Amino acid sequence: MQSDQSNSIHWLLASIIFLLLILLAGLKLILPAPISGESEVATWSPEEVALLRSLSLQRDGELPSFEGRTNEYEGSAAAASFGHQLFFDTDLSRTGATSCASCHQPDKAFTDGLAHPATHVQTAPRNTPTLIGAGSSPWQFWDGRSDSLWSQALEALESPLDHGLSRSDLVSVVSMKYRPEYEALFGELPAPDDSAAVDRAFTNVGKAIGAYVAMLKPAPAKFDRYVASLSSSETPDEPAELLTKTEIAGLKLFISEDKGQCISCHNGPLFTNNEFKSINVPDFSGADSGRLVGAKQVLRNPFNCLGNYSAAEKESCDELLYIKKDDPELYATFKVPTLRNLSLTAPYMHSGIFLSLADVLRYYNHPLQRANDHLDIVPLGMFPHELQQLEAFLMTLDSGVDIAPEWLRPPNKRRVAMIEY
Amino acid sequence: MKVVLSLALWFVTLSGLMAGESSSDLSKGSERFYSSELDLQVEIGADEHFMAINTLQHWNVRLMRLDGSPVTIKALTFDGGMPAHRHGLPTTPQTNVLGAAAQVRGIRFSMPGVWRLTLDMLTEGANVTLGLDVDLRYGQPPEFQSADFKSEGLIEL
Repeated sequence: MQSDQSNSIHWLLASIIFLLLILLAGLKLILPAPISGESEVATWSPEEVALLRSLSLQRDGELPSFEGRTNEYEGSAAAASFGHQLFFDTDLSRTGATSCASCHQPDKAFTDGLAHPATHVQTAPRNTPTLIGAGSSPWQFWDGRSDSLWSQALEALESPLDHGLSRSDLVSVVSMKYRPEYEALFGELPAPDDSAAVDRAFTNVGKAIGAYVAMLKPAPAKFDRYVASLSSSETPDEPAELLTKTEIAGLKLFISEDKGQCISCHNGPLFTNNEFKSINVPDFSGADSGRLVGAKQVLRNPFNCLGNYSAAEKESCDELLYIKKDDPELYATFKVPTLRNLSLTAPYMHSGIFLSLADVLRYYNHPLQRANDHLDIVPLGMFPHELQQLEAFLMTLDSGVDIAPEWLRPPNKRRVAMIEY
Repeated sequence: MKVVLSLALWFVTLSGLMAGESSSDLSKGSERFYSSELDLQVEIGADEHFMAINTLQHWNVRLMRLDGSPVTIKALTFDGGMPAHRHGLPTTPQTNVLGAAAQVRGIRFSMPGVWRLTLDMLTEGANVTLGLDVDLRYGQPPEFQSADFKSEGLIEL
């Protein structure tokens, strides 16, 4: 038989625990178990809908594309097909073992799953960026030192850190293996000792590769289908297309002005404004000046928009004509990467320091502020469950490439080296 | 409850569509700023992408008396940034002057939020500075929050 006193103590304890639970739930420190599979019909203000549309791949809209400005072969199926073959050909390297696809692997969203390629032995090696949607950025490389896909390919082909192939050797490989494809597009292959003609052939090869890479555009993701359903005249009736409660919570956090201000930089349909920003990665040694040097390099690059190999009228090279340069703000800044296909593009950041998205978000919650260094992010100020919601939302941006699958594999046709006597 | 939700969704969708149509992404646009104290007005405008977010745009700048008579700009400087984000302009706009008309080419607003812009106009006899605060948002027209004029010297006609 319990005494009255111990009974009322039990009730008191129970009430206190009950009230505490309500308080914690109210503060969102604990939540009723989320039924994360349940679809959600959230309400958005008109301003939020406009913002969501600006972030999504619109069915009637086109992604910005910069390759065609300087590459007259962009959009040519024959050039893209030739570029497709070149992309997977390991003979386009000094060792005969490296193709574009060695680091830009289609099944990893055209990255390699490494912090940086093994061949990157320089002081400040850099992570392999995705090629999906790369054609929508005016700048290539983490420091933007190329202003087109074709000029990026040319640097990779020549660089001892990547393919290490000389221009004349490249012309030899093409002469042996791809003479019909090359000559159908570009005319006669040059003699190896005619260096001006070799330069021109070198550029042509780059442009064929650029024509292929420009085709690698992101397919609509779960997020895009959700935004399209907001604008359609029918109420969505397929729960599989809607975002879950957790994903919507993450989306609301992503666009929130109070927490993190993500869309300051991660805006537009590719979730990047292609600007150069600093997040003060923890492993920064001071050896990599990023855009401060990259801006100088792109202006000096003979294969840039203003150069002799570019198809563009000089007056139309807006990005170079108005480029921000020689500004201390640019020191140690790097290109804002796309947030599409993140599940396949780990590790993250220019040095590949973060192995998982959870690591990235944890860092963004408490970024390093070094004295005198410009920091372009604000602490997210999120609770652990909010970081999980944000990560869940980011996963809704996965989609792969909007292209027929054969473009994502080496072509079937195998060319046998033709030895000329 | 379902009916209420569907109605809410319809309403949001309709207003979303309407808000979308009023966005100034691809549009020609202009804005004027007045100073009765200085008897001046400044008109800035663009043939396309005026005040669009993350799109390169070129502005035409005109300086006039309040009665519309043009005031020649001899030299024009343009600068700006986002005070809240502690960064300057993401491009290096180039200015040029042609009599009463002046141009600022290569402006980009790389993100939504409040931009502080300064136009320094050198005229015959005076230096006029127009400072602007503009808040850019997706799906909304730009909100010019403040415009202040400063002038050193007297403007001769």
